[in-house]
This record gives sequence, structure tokens and C-alpha cells, in this order.
Amino acid sequence: MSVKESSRARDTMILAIFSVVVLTAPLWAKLIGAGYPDLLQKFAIFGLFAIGYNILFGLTGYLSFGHAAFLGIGSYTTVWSFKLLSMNVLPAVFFAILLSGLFAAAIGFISLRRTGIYFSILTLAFAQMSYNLAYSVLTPITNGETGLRVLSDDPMVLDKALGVEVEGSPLGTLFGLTMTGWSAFYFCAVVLILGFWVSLKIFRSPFGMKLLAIKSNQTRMEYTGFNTRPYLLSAFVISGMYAGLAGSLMAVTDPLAGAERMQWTASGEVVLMTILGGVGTLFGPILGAATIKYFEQIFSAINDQVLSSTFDFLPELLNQFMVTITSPFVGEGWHLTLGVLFMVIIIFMPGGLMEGIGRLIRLLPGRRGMAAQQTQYDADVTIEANADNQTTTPEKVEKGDAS
Amino acid sequence: MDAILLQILNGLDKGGAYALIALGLTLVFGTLGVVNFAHGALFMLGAFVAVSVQGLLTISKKVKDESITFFDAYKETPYLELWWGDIGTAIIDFAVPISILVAIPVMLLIGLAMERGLVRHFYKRDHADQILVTFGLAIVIQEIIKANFGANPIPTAAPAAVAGSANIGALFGIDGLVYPWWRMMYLVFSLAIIGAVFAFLHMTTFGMVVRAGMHDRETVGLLGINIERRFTIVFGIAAIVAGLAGVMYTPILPPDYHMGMDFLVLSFVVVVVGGMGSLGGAVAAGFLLGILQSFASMNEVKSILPGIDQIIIYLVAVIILLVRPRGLLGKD
Repeated sequence: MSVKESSRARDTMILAIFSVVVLTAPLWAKLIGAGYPDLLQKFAIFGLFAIGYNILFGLTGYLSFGHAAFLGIGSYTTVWSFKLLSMNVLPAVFFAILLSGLFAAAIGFISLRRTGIYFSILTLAFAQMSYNLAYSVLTPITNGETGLRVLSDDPMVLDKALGVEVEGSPLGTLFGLTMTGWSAFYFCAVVLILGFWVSLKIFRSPFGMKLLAIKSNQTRMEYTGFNTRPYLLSAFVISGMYAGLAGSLMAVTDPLAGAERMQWTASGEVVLMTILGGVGTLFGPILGAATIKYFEQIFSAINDQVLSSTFDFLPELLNQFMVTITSPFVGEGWHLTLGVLFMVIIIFMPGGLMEGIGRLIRLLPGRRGMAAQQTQYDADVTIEANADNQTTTPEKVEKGDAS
Repeated sequence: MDAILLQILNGLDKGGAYALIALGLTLVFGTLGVVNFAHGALFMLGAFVAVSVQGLLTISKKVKDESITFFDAYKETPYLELWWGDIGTAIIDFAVPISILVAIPVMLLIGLAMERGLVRHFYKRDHADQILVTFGLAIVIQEIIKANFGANPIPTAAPAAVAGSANIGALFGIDGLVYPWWRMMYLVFSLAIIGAVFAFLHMTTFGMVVRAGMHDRETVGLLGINIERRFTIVFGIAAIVAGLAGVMYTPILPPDYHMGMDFLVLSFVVVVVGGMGSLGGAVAAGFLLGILQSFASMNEVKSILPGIDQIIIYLVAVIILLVRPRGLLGKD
């Protein structure tokens, strides 16, 4: 068997295992107390968002702080498609991807003229512009602070033409299947698997290799007569489309779109997810997204009573002490935990959870050879990209220019 | 005419805040080469120094209200008033100016701790890592403040003497042009701070060494000067500048825990427009964008270009970055 065939077989294996894990999530997620559709579909949606973001940031190293704008555009497009055309989710998702892709092409075309921190600021500026406009002048389209929702007396041209009746409060449907509860989760799960498959293909393709080459040394790429701009723009558009898709799924599972989705802190959140899981790895972003959403759910629900019953086995004084020092980190204060966790990851484990898992596997006795091979495969791209980090990256060049 | 003058004045105090925050940001970038996303948090911490000082000064106890005789009525009276009478009241009234004196050592300590404890480990890492770790720090600081002071804005009043508005129209012979005293003081104060920073950098030996280090860190190091330590102090100074900007801003905008983030994004845009690492550029761009923003929020302008007030700063930044990537005053 040739190398190429064996790696293809391995990719099929990865995809198969991934699909099984995702589709059986309702079964195993019960064990960690996450076995309900609302949370699981959040894992899937933010997983998609992070996978897409990873194609830009993980492969090319361009740190965008504006991806929430595409998320918002996806949501608004979806709700408008519901309102004007049909409650069927397929056209809605299609238009959301299309429109966010168009916006990404326009914003990317301008932003990618600069690199490093200037690129980050440009994307941030565009995202803030979209957010501010969505809140103010674009109120007729976005419905401002109230948020855009589907009303029962909306036109829905296609549904009317086909004679599809909408009863009660309008919900997204897939040819009669209402997008709520478990069906919504399975829809998101299937889309997630498709999204993962595309990302896997990109990682293994010559296109992905070129993106990685841009990350490790863009200047050298350009010296060899290689025009990097089209590749960067494609990566930007693809990741924008992923964000639009994620935004669309948010609106599919809950037909409401609000401008707060576009705020720059939301862009920050997807950066957190990607980094936490592991930048440039295949599974990292999904893992990071699921971890953050999981802990958000679990930690927000904990209060002092839960804490004191957790530390019940300790003597009274020690119990109170433990409750006092842990209570700022849970409930309302869960963002504090997130911030601390994030700093710890960046400082000690820049490769994220995937790097941590890799280290753990390597520690296991007798599995040294296999583990090395495994991590090599899982994180093949990260290691290369992070290894000889950037002696002459565009950022440094630009910084040298500016100072 | 007076409308234009008023808009310029309105823009100047906001511009002053932008300029002060951007000055610190660009100073840190120019010396240490660090992109500090936690700088907005320093601005916010400064504002909360003022809140804490006000809180400390007004620690009170229940005193029987003698003016009500039908029943036993109690009212909260600050200890300062009980001990020193009118002088105590005056001290409480001047809580914000007093906070300035408190904020200088506090912010210096916070700045030094931040640089020694976290930021200096990131000199060698790339800008993305610096942005991310300071972003994480900003979240942590913000959440600590939220846990201690709550999520609502806390009003902090300016001294009564300068709480009103000045009829500065009289100076120019225009009727009805009034401008709050405190905003005027903010402008003067920010100019004074900016002047002090520039004087420090240009007129002292320390400043000279720092400027030399910004230019060529290695050579200065080879001359046997401990440039790292001076840069640490520069970080402390940047923290003080941001903190003072925050203290003085409290009477204009009641501080809450996310004010730092709001100002940070704008200040970054200001720094980029002015030119990364260029001090003069940051100040000029701060005032320029402040004034542009207040012009854009005039009704006459808004009726022609709806929504322009929301995006003007970002729009200017995009144009500048595309047309003149090194910023207004940035060097090649």
C-alpha cells in the first residue's frame, strides 16, 4: 500500500470515528451531565465556528478579531430567509453562507493588504463598524436592540406558494421536520461532520500546505515568486463562510438574531476556543469550543450551596474556607475562571489542550513510540508551524518598519 | 459658528482621554515592543481608584437626626464630617482630585507588577501571543472589579465648585455657548500630563536613555546601561498615565467594569492611525479622532450620512491604514 493510500485510509478512519462520536453524543454526554440538545447543539455550532476560524488563524497565522461580524451576518440572513422565503432551513443556510462569504471577500480583500497587528486592527474595525451600524442606522434590517425575529404574518413566499402551513410560533423546518430539541441537534451534528470533513480535506490538500507555508515564512514564499494574496483571501473567505454557517445554525435552532452576536468580545471568544483547544490542529478547535461551552453551563449553575455540599467531607472551618476561595470563580464569576484558564494556557501550553493531551500520552509508559507517532499525526501541522517560529514573519518586519 | 466651536470643544475632552490612553499604549509598544490589550483595564482601574477613595472617605455611621422630633430618625453621616465638620465635607467633596494623588503610587505599583510578573515573559513571543495573554489578563482584571464593585456604573461627582458649566461663549462674544467646567479641566489636565511625559522623555537623562533605547536597544545595552529596568519604569509610567486618565474621567462617565474594553478598542485605533510607536502621532490622532467623532454626531452631518457617527473612527482607521500604513506621524 502506498503512503498516499494509507494516509487516505487513515483520514477515512478519522472521519468515521469523529462521526460516530458526534452522532452518539446524546448517549455519552449524559455521563458528564451535558446530555441535552440545547447544550450539545451549542457544542456543534461553536465547534463549526472554531473550525472555520482555525482555517484562517491556525493555518495562516493571521489573527482576526472580527469574525463575529460574519456570525451576525449569517444569523440575520437566516432570519430574513425565514421571513421572506420559507421556514425551510436549507435555503436559509445556503443564503447565510453565500452572503457571509461575500462580506468576507470584501472585508478580507481590504484587511489582507496588511499583516500582523495591523490586520487584527483592520478586522476589528470592520467588525465594530458592522456592530455599531446594526445597532443604529440599520435598525430597519436588524431590528436594533430588540433583535430580529420571525413573525407569523411574514410573507414567506415559498411556503405560501407550496401551501405549507405554519402553526404556532414559527420554527425552522427541514421538509416537515421541526428544528427543535433532538432533531435540531442532529441537524447541527450532520453539518458539523460535513464541516469537519471539509476542514480535513483542506488540511491535507496542497492548498492547506501553502497556507502553512505562509504562516511559517510569508516573506520567503514571496521571494520565490509566489503570490500569497489569493490563498490568504480564500482562507479568509472560507473561514468567514464557516462563521456565517455557525450564525445561521444559531438562528435555525432559535429564530432570533441580535446585534450582540457581532460584538468584538464575541470574536474574542472564538479566538479563546481555538487557542484553548489547540491552534492549527484538526480536533483542537472543536474540543476548545465544547470545553468552553460546557464549563460555561456547568460553572454558571454552581452557587455557594452546591459548593458547600461538595466540600461537605471537610471539617466545618475548612469547608467554609474552601467555599470562600472558590465561590468567586463559579456562578456569575465564571468569566474569571475563563480568563485565568486562558492565561495559563497561553503561558504554559501555547499548543492548547491538544498539546496537553499529547504530553500526557507521551508520559504513558511503554507507549512512547506509538504515542509519538500518534501526536505527530494529530498535530502534524501545529508542530511544524510553531517550531521555527517566525524569525522574519511579516509582523516582525512591520514592527521593525514602524519603530 | 458657535455650533462648530461647541463640537470642537466636545471633541477635545474625549480626544484628551483617547490621547492619554493611546500615549501609554504606544509608549509601551515603542519601548518594550509589546502589544498590551490590558491597557484599557489600567484606565478602568484608575477610575476605580477614584471610586474606592470616594468610598473610603465616606465611611459613615448612623447618627440620630435631631431635626426630626416625632420619632427616632437616623441618618448616615461620614466620620470625616463628624470629626472635622465643614473641613470634612470639603474633603469628601474633593474626592476625585484627592484620588489623583492616591492613583499615582497605586498605578505605578500595578504597572510594575504587571510588567515584572507577566508581560516581560512575552517579549520574545510573537505579537499574537502578547495580544492574547494581555487580553486574558484584561478579562481577569475586569471580572475582579465586577465581583467587588458590581456591574452597575458608580457615579462619582466632581467637586461642587467645578460641577457647573462655564459660559465661555462670553469670551468669544457668542451667547449661549456653555461648556462644563470639568470637561475643560479634563482637557487642561490631559495636556499637562502629555506635556509632562514629553518633558520627561526629552529633558531628563533618564528620558534620553529611554529614547535611545527605543531607537536601538542593543547598542544602549552594550554601553552598559540596564535598559530593561528603565523600560520597566516606562511601563509603570504608562500605567500611571492611563490610570490618571481614568481617575479624571469618572465625573464625565460613571465607571463600570467594561469601560476599559470600550476605550481600549478605540485607543488601539488611535494608536494605529497615529503610527505604532509614535508618541506625537498618538496624541495628534487622539484629539483629531475625538473632534471628528463629535462633528460626525452633529444632526446636520447625520442627516446627510446616517450612521456616520457610529463608524467614523473605524472608517478613518481603515482609510489611513490603506493609504498610509505607517500612520500619520509614524516613521518609515
